[in-house]
Amino acid sequence: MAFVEFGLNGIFLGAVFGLLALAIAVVWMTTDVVDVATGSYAAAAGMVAVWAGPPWGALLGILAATALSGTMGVIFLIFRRLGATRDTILIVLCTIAYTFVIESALQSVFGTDNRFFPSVPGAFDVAGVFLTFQGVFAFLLAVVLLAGLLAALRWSPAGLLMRASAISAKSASLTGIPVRRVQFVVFLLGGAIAGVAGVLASMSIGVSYSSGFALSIVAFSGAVVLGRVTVSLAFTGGLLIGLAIALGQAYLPQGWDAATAPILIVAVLCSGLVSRDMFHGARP
Amino acid sequence: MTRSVRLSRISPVLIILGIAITLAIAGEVRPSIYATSVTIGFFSLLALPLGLLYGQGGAISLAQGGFAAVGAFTTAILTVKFGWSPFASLVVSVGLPAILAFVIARPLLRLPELSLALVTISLVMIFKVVFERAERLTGGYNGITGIAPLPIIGVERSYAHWTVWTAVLIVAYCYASYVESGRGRALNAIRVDRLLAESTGTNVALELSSLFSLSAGIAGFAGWFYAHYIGFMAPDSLDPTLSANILFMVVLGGRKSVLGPIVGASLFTLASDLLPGTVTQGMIFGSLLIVILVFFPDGIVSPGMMRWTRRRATTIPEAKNTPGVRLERA
Amino acid sequence: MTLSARDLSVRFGGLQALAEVSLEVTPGRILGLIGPNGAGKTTLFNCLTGVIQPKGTVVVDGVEITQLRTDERVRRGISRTFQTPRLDMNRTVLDAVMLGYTPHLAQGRLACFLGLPSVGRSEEHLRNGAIEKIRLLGLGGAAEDRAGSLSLGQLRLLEVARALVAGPRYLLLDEPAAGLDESDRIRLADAIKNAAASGIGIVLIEHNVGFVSRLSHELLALVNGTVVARGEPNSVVCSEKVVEAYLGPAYVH
Repeated sequence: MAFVEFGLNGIFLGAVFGLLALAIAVVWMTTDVVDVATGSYAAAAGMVAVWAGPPWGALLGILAATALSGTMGVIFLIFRRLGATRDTILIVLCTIAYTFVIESALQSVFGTDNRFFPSVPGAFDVAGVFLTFQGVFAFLLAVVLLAGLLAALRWSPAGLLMRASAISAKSASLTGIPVRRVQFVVFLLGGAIAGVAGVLASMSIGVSYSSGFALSIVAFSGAVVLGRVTVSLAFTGGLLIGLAIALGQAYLPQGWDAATAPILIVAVLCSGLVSRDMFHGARP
Repeated sequence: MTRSVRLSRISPVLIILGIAITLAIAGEVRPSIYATSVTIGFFSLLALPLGLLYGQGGAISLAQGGFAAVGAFTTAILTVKFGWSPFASLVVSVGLPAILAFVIARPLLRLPELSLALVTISLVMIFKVVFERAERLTGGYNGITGIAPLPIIGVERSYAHWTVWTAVLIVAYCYASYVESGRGRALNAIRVDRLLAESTGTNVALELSSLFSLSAGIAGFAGWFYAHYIGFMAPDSLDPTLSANILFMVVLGGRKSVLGPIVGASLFTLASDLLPGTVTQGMIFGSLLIVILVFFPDGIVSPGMMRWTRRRATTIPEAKNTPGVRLERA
Repeated sequence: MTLSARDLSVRFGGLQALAEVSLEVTPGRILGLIGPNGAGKTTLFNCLTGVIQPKGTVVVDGVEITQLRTDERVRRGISRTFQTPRLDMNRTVLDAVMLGYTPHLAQGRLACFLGLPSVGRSEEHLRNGAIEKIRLLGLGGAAEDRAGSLSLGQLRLLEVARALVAGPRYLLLDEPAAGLDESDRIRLADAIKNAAASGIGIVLIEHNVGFVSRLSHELLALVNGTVVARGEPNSVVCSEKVVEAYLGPAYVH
């Protein structure tokens, strides 16, 4: 029973990581950039939400995250405008530097405490397995968001543009799709999703100014762990990482669970499971 | 021709020697400058081999700080807990990260840049968890205190300055010589195009793993020096942010030249000394990094001759007086 | 003493790029490889050099090398050029050609790091050799120029020079004459003949049927990954299947 309880709570925790992995994956697929600052958008969303308080704080937090990722989007566009053939790795370094900026800003505004947004109260038990409403809420919200995103990608005109730009930015731009604008919108979208994840995180595990980087690493491991990078696989990967971390917390000696995500990244990427094309920007 | 080649190899070394002497003179006048110069030297030692690996060979690594931490903890454990002499532990401090790097290099270095960056930073995070958790050896979060100063050098800052800068000079000389040899040519080919390198007979995996291992070994040496100089080593002393910063030094300073990493290391150290407040520092610092990465992606020092020849060949004659050309010249 | 490939087959997804292709080239001989675009000529080179792993075997001078890496094959004497030149456009022509010396570099890693005088002497020696080859191919005036300033045809010549300085026993040339003017083409033909005369076995991919049949001792025609004709150049060029593949069925009679 204890195992099932840890497992389910892990998956509920994984909903947060799943959303973050999703945010990383959409930006990655459309722009070839792994946005290392994604976790920081989430941390910012959580901190702002706590500061503004319920109920509107949550919305404000998500807006803040979107604004931050939008700024990154602008930086990305300037970078591409200045040199279309430049090495993508430089813009990834920019996102790392951006992490420093956000961390430092959060620290100087909100201080160093780990902060919590009021969570959904209550708990229940099913056949001896003890679960919180907060966990169920986070999970359901995440699944609804995922379904909405998948539906939008599948059926909406904007989704079509996004998919076209993801398959090949060059051919998409040749067919008249405003690829740069689409990429900018995807940055905003990624920030908004990360914002939701951040508010959910502040309702359960709490967020601090320095949560961002660790969240990004966990989310990235979720995005790649299933081998292929797609929207739904990234989300599922995030859930699995949540599960792995929860089981690690329960059964590993204290503190070692922090190594779960990085170990998975090293193992998955070195085994060559993830298609190389994802990393090249080699798609013509 | 031979003379010019030799000169181009020696001149960066002479410039670095000039920097070291200037810093030493300034240090004699104001001793606090020695602290800065030792820090610059330490960062340069980490950044230079990465400059060779990334700037010439095209293989990125965000693990330099992590390997330095391995070297530092190794000597801290061996000298404090097991009573080794620092010179005996030096062998292990250099050897352990070098061997570790060589072993993990093969699957790693096949990876394209972006995944290599993320894998190496993950490695550093794993190292950190190990340092924090292997409490019996590393002292956990509290780290290890009372690491003895090195014999002869002791705590004398000018000696420390010359030790670390001598190491920088040697590494810079080796870097410059290597780049000018036939092997440097092969290394450059790896960066440009791996298929080209393989088809002209370079064992890409071996070449890159040796360099990866070498840069880890030099990082281990820097860590060894750091531990004995500071006298204290904890998981937070050389943390993942340092690894990221080392890469930034290389990129901002100029990844294609010998002097680039050293210029990067100097600017970083000076910036963190001169920028106000520790809390807001990240904002200024990060924004500066972004601005430089976006507007000067080749870094501050890029090989001048190359820049000139590229310009000559890519600008068509009638474009000679367009603002674009003038802008880039300036 | 041959480079021989037996029954090489490659599939790319649903496409049979090569179907049981065999070939053999002996030192001093020139084997011309013709066929329309997409026939599998470059794929065949990629198999011989180990860039892709085919079914079948590749044997060089009696030693099977099917499992060897590309760089190991280069060290066993198989050099190639690329259809689309591959090189660092920012370096000089001389530098680009000297890269060809890599497989037999007499410079130890440690010596290179220490910048020993022996490395300088070795470089000097290699430089002279490279200049000689560059002159041979008519690029003498451009030795110190940036490689990016050359025309496409000149870059192909540069690749030939780079392959030659490696001192290969077998040389695979992928459309070296495309985009060359008449005088350069004559120079290239001379260089290829001289290389063959000095005992190098050459495989030559070429679209210009006149050029290749004058140069080659033997021709091999590939269509859709299969060998449709092989043998004495004139008979291959006139064979029905080759004419059909190049000009269409209407021209066969």
